[in-house]
Amino acid sequence: MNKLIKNELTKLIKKKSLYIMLIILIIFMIINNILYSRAYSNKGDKYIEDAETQYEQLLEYKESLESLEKMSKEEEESYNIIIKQMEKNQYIIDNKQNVDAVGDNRFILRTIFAQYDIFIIIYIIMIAGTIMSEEFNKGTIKLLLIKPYSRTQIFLAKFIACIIVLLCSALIMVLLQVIIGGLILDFNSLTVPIVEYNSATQDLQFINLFAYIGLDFLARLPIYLILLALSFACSTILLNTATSIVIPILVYLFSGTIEGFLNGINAKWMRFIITLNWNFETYLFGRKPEISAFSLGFSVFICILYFVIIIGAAYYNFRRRDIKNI
Amino acid sequence: MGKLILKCTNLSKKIGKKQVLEDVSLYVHEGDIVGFIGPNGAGKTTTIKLVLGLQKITSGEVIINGYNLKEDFKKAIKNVGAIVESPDLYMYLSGYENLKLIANLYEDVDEKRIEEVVELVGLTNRIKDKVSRYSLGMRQRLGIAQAILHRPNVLILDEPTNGLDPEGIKEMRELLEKLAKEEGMGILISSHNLAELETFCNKACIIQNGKLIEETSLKNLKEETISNYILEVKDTKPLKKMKKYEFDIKNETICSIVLEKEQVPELIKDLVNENVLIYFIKKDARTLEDAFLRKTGGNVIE
Repeated sequence: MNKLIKNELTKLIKKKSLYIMLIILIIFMIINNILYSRAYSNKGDKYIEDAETQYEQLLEYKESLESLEKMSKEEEESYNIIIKQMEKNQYIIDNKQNVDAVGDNRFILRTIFAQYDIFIIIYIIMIAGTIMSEEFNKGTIKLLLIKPYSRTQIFLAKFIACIIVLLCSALIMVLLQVIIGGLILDFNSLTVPIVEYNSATQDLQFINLFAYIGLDFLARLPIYLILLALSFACSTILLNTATSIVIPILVYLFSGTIEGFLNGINAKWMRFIITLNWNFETYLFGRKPEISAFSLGFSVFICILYFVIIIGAAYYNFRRRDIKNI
Repeated sequence: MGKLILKCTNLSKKIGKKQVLEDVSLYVHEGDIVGFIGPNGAGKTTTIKLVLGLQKITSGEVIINGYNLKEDFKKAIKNVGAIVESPDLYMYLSGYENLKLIANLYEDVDEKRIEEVVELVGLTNRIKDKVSRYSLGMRQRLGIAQAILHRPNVLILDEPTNGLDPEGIKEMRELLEKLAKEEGMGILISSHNLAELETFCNKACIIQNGKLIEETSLKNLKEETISNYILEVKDTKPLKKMKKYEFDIKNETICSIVLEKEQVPELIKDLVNENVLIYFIKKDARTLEDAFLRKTGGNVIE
């Protein structure tokens, strides 16, 4: 099956659309980085001063809380957060590392998916949305089906090729930002670790920037995988490229709106909506979601369920399809 | 007759309520070039799609090189090459890249073989160009190249001469004859172009409305005793009075008539008795087209 996957990737690489998207991404990144460089200045030691000032303010608040006879539950939580924030500020002062900087290369990298992942999403939807339908519409699927490979192998090869494209585009995007950001902004900030407050251990966690990016990618991976699967399934079942691209994009666009409704409508069935369960960033660093109906285990289950149903439907359809007039 | 390499027994296909194919049986041996003939909508392409596993078989069996298509698909299809409806090519890639993709999927197809096949189909000069720049004839040739790249012993071609000029058809014919003779390939060609098939094939299968109505060697088909005879006489007017015969009068001097071979001497005698002056009487060379139309009685698509 490796040969099949290799063929699929070869076919994709030779498409012009790949390079057009790449150029658009690069241009966008350059503009973005330039804008950040104009808006923010991270030079100098001002951040140390700010950390010291904030430390003093927090110290006052901490002492006022300690002077209370008994703290309410909310006050206790605030107290813990204050302590941790003070630790963070101490870290900044002691190590002279601008951990909360905004607008340097590190900042863009640690928020890279929030800033650019629309490119990944559009690209994978385009690839997954055409990979089956185009072959059917142009007739070249017949070429594949009369080779000594089962329909299962052909289906899997195409799907795996899409996933490889997903992983490669994320990697390329990070590399491009490192280089473009390095040239326009800086390379130095890349060594500063990410400092996050972990709600579960109630402690500060230090993590290398690139490890953090990897973690963030994994947290968002279900979003990309579900959209990819949806696009791939539409392409396989409907054999129509346009719908295969539009449907996943609409789902992605409405995901934000649906989240907004969640606060207003408190219906139990809403927990089963995929878009409310697919962003695992809400669970990173021991965080807990605001609404108790959701939990890590439940969200994982929902994501797997949707994924299996979507791909299962596409697979069943592909295996049973009679090739008609193409 | 060589080994039996493609055996289809009682193939049937039902789509919804419609019986598209009924009990079609086909046999192709090594070295055969079998013409699969039928009017539009007869079921030729459907049969081919069933043989290749592109559509599900409702009932019946396909055995290729001893392997059952349903049970052992990969082994059965391994030595089959085909073009269905039109060559399937990636237009945005070059001819060479298209062939390379196919070569990757088989174990023993290397650069040398690709070059060999490109030369065989006469595309050496244009093989690195994008397929979107090829003429129809070139695409047909690349399609053949694709189909024979892995040295199959069964070749199934759906209308391979579509769009080829007479030169192209001649080359195709020579190529196919060579493949059948020298490489022992069994070839199944479906076509409308009966005049061409006549020059290629040694066997013909005629299909109409999903049923096989004739399967015979080409020699037999053409040697049936009823033929069309053409006469040139001084004046065809007296012929109209001869009620015994149904002449098809073309003009003042030419007419034709369909007769059994045995009736010809009597016709000549009768013409002489009527004082008809005969210049010649000649048997119209039986074409495959006549045989086909005679068998199918004109086409009605049900």
